[in-house]
Amino acid sequence: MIIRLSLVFFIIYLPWFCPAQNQHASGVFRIGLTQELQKFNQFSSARVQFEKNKNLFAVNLGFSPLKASQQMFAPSFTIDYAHLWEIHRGFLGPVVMFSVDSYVFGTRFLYLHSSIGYRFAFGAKWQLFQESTVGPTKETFTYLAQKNQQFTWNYHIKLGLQYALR
Amino acid sequence: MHYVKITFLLCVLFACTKSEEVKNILVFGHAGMGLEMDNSIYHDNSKEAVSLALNLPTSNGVEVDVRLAADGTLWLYHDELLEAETNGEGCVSDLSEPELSKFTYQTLKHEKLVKLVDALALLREDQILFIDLKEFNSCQNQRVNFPELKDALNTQIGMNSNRVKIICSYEYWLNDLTQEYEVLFSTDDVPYGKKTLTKYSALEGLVIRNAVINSTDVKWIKEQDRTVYLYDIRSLRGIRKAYAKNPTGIFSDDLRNALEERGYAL
Repeated sequence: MIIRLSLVFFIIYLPWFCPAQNQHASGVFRIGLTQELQKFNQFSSARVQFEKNKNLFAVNLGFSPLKASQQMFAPSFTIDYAHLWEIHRGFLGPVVMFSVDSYVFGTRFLYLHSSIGYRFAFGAKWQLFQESTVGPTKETFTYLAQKNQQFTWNYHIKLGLQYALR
Repeated sequence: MHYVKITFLLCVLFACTKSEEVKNILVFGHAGMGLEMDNSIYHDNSKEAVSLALNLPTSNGVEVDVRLAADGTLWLYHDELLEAETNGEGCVSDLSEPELSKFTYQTLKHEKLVKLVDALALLREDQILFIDLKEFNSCQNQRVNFPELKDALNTQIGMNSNRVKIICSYEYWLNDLTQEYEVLFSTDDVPYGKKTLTKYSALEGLVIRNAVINSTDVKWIKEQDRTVYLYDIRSLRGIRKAYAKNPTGIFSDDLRNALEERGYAL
């Protein structure tokens, strides 16, 4: 299973393993803000994206305003990869995402997500994007010495605004 | 200047304090982790849903829907027909344990139907199980036999009667049930509920839909030394509205958020 997953990742990230083929294009950094809705929670995140040859890699760091309104801090960390093609005046392509979020309510609740879906982006310097992905989520918490672990399908609907630094 | 604004915003977000009244409201999972809620993970009234609901920190217990099978066993099942949610057909009341134990819910996890005794075994000492009696057999178009139902309750609840409360929506069974159990009357008609409370002095309280009752009626019921539990509470907004009415407890379809909204420090 791990070998198969490694192969999939290798194929997805192949363009970065072969930089010699991509010498012509220079990378673009974008920073932005996103709002994400999913099965268990909502997250507001700040985001840094690196873009080269239609391959986009981003790191997101956020928190849940919903949990904040309940006096809890629920941070979220997400990495995502997308490959977007230019279609008319927009960009469209697949996206794969891995994220972890957590909060403490009596005990630590930990959520691990992986998902796959599409991203649609519009704009050049300022770019608006929408992304929808689905995939498995694992919820883990231990309470009164009993470990609880559940798997479930989850959806992630994300809306974001990014600004190109160069 | 930006740091000041950000600090102020964070202070506003985290500064709200919960009232003591909210902390005293009991919180139960509706049919386990909720009815038809996408974040419940498991099907309502399944063993997995009940177990998860009871294992969440500060959970006071669960409410489950219970039906009498033909062989006198009690099963957790909400709908009238098995084909609505499972791979079985017919009514629980017309089938026995060998058939019912084979049926699974039509979900990805294929949770099995569970007997009341198995759900009771999951309860911790400090938790309560609300048994919502589903008294109607729609396949026979009649109510289930009450003496048989009562015998089944007596046998299968057994030593757990102090951790069980019965919810009944059929007024004419209240006198009998209140002799042995703590019983709540379920209705969506507030005046009828208040009238029934007055009529049956042994009745513990009411179970009523959150949307149909206001805080004045909740207060009136509590002033009669009775309890009032609200249900059909699906969103965080609904949870906050329900808490504002200060009921004895709520049966929430979003148990995680209901517990977290109440707060951990009890």
